[in-house]
Amino acid sequence: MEGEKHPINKKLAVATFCILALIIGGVFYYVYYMPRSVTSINVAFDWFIYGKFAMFYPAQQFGWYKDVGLDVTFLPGAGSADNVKRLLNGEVQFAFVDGIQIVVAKTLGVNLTAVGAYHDKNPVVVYAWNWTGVKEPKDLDGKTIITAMGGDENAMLPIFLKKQNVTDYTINTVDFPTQLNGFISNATGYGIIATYVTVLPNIEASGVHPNIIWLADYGLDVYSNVITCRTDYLKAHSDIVAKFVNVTYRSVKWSLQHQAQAFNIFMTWNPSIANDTATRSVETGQFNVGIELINTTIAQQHTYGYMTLIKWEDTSNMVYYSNMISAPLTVDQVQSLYTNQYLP
Amino acid sequence: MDIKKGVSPIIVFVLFILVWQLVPIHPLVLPKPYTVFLRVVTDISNGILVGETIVTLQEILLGFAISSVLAVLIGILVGEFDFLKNAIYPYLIAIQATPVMTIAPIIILIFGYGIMSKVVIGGLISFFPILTNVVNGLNSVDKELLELIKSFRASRFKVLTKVKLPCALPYIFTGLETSSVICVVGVIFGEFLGSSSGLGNYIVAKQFNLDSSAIFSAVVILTLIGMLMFFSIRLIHKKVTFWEGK
Repeated sequence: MEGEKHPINKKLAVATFCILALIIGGVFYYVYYMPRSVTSINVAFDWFIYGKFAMFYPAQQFGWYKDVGLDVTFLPGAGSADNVKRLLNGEVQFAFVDGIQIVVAKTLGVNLTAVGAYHDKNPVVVYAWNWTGVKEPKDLDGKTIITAMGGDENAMLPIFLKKQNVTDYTINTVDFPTQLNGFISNATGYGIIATYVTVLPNIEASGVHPNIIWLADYGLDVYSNVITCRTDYLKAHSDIVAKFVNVTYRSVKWSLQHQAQAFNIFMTWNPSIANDTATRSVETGQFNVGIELINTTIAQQHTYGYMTLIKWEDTSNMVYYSNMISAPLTVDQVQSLYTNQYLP
Repeated sequence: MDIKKGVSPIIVFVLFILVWQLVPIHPLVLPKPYTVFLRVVTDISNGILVGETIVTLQEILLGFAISSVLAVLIGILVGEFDFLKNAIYPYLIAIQATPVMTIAPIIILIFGYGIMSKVVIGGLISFFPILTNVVNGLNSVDKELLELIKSFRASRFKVLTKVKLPCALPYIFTGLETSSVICVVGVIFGEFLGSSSGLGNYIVAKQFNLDSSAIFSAVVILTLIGMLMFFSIRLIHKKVTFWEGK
């Protein structure tokens, strides 16, 4: 019997080897090759894609969204109110919505939750040609101001002027391009517009260097662009919200630390934006304005995107004083408008 | 036969309302028809929509009236004088080919934020359909009829007033009917671009407030204005050109 091969043991050894090889190969394949389940989400900006949104693109470039199982598509928008509707009909999961619309939606029984501020400083400003002599709020007395239809400034400006004891004024509303072109070409003859600071690079590129009054610098600093989702979506998919918000603000932080690189990444991802010197200059200007709006004292004290109850209460009160809602929101209601929980 | 004729649009309307009611879209995006109906009644009874409607109606009627008169006059001149047709018709087509939407912001800046810019935009957009119909109408006259009246040594003016214009009337009214609806669109677009009152301004303001039922109540009023304009002109059309279809 000695020296005789044991046929059963040999077969067992081969079978064991094959099973082990299959298991190891399967695990290896799963870890390295098996496609992970990816969640597709759409994010709506509040306007066409321009330099202000550059801070989102490093996350795309470095695959940070993909790393957490998200396939993110950024879409241009047509304003904050339109984005509320896009959230409601499910076209997008996240959108740029102004604080004003979140408050109004709440009173209409639509629950939206702000998951991070993008404009921590309110971007509404009054631009005035030098010849108007307007340098500070009191100079607006007796003047006509051109505002853009559907813009936050329509709600904010009367309250701002009242706070500044300016009572004799006229507001003319036009659509946004007409407002901007009219101001730049001085065709309106009034030389004063109230709109967003994000268009300053466009104005300056045309050779006009207006005086600027920030409403936020005179005590009217309410939430403008915040990244928003539906509250029911947040409850049902808190893991997705957590991943998206965390990666997005990581991208914001990286962009602030590597501004030139972040801007180049943005331009690479948006080839439709002309890459000539003039356009790059305007887009860079818009990127820098975006940084100014997000990199505030509050953000530095806490984290980028951090929101405060006081400022949300101010936002709610402003909406009430502008007669857009019949009663101010309660503290509980205001608290339900936002969460800092998912910020990194 | 007449009963069938009257019932069919009602059936379509009821079906439309039913589909609208059943479409599962959030009411902030598409409010239900009953909500819109109630809102129309409320906004009219408390006077909110009345003031805005009067402003828009003024702009529409003025724009339509000016454009109609100019289009008929220019159409007659172009239709009657070949040299004028050769000289200005290509440019009239060029004006029509230029999208009014793109030049509307300039019109706002030139004519201001008041009623006049909306009148110009509404008038401009409704001008061409009338003009082409006038020219086509004048050119559609039976040549034998023209020869006949000319054989009586009728003057050019007589030919125009006694033969050409009556023959062109059905065409002219078709142009007026089309333009009456287009004019509403033009005026509202003008109000979207720059205004401080009117239904277009009201819609933009309510869009900002997320007040969808108010937006739709204004849309209902605009639809009614458009329909009223169209059917009024059609009624006049039928009364004036009573020989048509006989």
